[in-house]
Amino acid sequence: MAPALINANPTIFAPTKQSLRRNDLNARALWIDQRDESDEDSEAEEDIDQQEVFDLIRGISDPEHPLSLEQLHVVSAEQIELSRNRVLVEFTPTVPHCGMSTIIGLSIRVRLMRCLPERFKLDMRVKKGSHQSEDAVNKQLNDKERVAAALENPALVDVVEQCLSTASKRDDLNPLDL
Amino acid sequence: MPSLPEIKYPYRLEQIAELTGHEDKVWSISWNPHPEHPLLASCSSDKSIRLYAYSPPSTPSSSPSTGSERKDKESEYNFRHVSTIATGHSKTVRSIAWTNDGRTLASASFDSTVGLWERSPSNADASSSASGDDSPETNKELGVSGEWELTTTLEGPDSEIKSVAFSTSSSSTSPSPYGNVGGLVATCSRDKSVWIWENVGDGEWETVSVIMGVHSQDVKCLAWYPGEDILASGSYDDTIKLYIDDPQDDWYDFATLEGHTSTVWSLAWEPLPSPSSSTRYLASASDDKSLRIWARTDTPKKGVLGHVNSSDQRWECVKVLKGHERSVYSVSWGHSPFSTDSSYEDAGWIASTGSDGRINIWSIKAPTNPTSHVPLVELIASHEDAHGIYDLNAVAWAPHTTTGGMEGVLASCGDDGVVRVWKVVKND
Repeated sequence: MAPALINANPTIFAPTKQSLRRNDLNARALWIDQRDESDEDSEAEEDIDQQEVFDLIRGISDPEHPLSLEQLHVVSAEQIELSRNRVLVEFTPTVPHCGMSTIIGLSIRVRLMRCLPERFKLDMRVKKGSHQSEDAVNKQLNDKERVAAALENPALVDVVEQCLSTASKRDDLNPLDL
Repeated sequence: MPSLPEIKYPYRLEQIAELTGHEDKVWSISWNPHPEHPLLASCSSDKSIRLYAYSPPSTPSSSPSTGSERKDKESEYNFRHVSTIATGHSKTVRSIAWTNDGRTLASASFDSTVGLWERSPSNADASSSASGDDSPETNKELGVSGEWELTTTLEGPDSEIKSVAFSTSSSSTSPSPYGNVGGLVATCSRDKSVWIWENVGDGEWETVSVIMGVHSQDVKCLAWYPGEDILASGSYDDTIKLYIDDPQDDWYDFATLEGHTSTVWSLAWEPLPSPSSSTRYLASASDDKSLRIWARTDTPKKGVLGHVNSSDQRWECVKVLKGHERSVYSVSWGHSPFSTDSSYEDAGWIASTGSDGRINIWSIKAPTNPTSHVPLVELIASHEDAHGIYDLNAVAWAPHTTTGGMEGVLASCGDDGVVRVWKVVKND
């Protein structure tokens, strides 16, 4: 018998129209080797906005269901705050005692670590009031040493990679196709 | 964030070396404390330790140098890579520490073990007898060259080790043919424990104490009180604990320092002010973006830790230092250079750094009023983006030596995989 899911009946939301700038962003997301640090302050061209950050994370899968964080309303463009070289991503766990919050948070962090320009410092938090141990979850997700150690744990990395496998294939997800 | 108006501080930092080679984040650096082994070690997520040798200038700078002499300074110190230890740790090497005699290096890893490394004696002996050359240059090279071998692995903690530190008490540093018998080393871990091991000779280390149930969370950092077997630890539980050994029983925590509102990342005791007085202060760096200075306040007598039988010790925060925009990951406390005045008031210089990429240098002076415990703190230098856009993970002052030459020299390391060495220079 399969172990009980923490959140067996999640509420599913329809995904919004894709950003028209998605193609541009994908091209840029492949730049990992092409980042040109000798660019004179290229902040103007490389200015990232909420929608672009959201586009990077909307397709990440929930660890327990073949559904995206967007469909589950875990992440939204409105919950992303940007300031010069700083991104704050707020996410809403599906249920208040969600044990999967750390995995979800870690997946978002890894995705953004790989895709955002290196100059961005990322901070994360769960939406206030959405989790029983929000301070504890926030502290773990923002502890750089704990995150680094977690990413050296093969079992944990496997789960995160699973969640990330759909991150750029959002179109394939059909909410009715469970 | 609008750029701040240019503030003119009394001092500035000038880079004297840029040491590349690590292939991942560099978490920590440690200077070999012994004058015969002028080495700087760095450790990384790439699981290696890199060793750089340098040449301390033969004459100490008697006056602060100006910027135009920078080119001379770089070649003057001659930092060069001499060795890489492929540690064999299966995960990140998070922290490294040297024994006082400079002969042993400890590597603490996320794989939950600590490696103890020594240069194989055959290397040094063979080189000296073969060449029959006793020139100072050769001896200097002998002090820094050679292959490093794993002599011991310390195991026990259940999860990632975050820090390792050797005691510098006299019982820990009296040499013997088999190393510093009686010497202590401490480690701390995510499993909330602090372990203390003792050197029992022949390359063997025995567990002396496993301190559990003290911190309620991940223990991040350790610092031994200079010259004594008294230990401080900082934790994810936002507190600092002080420990001592009860000879009739076991190691125990005799004080808890509370005040930080988030994880304590790093600790540094004031270095011994002078042979006749003892360390008065402890500095801590925290995720709450501040640093704090702590002192024992239940006694009017300054600078004496005292006999620690009573649990009446009261430790209080006597200063909060604000000057960072993000988590402060590291604090190091060194002697202040350029001071000809060895007055009791001078308590050295603190260097701090963290996620904001800034290195701050603070001068500390002990109050002249004998009943006050509050030090005078001044921010004397601030260097932005020391490693560009990257987080800095650690800073460490070069060792204070009687021959001098390394005053005001500071190493830093960051997420860019680079180690930089700086000299604090006076602004005209």
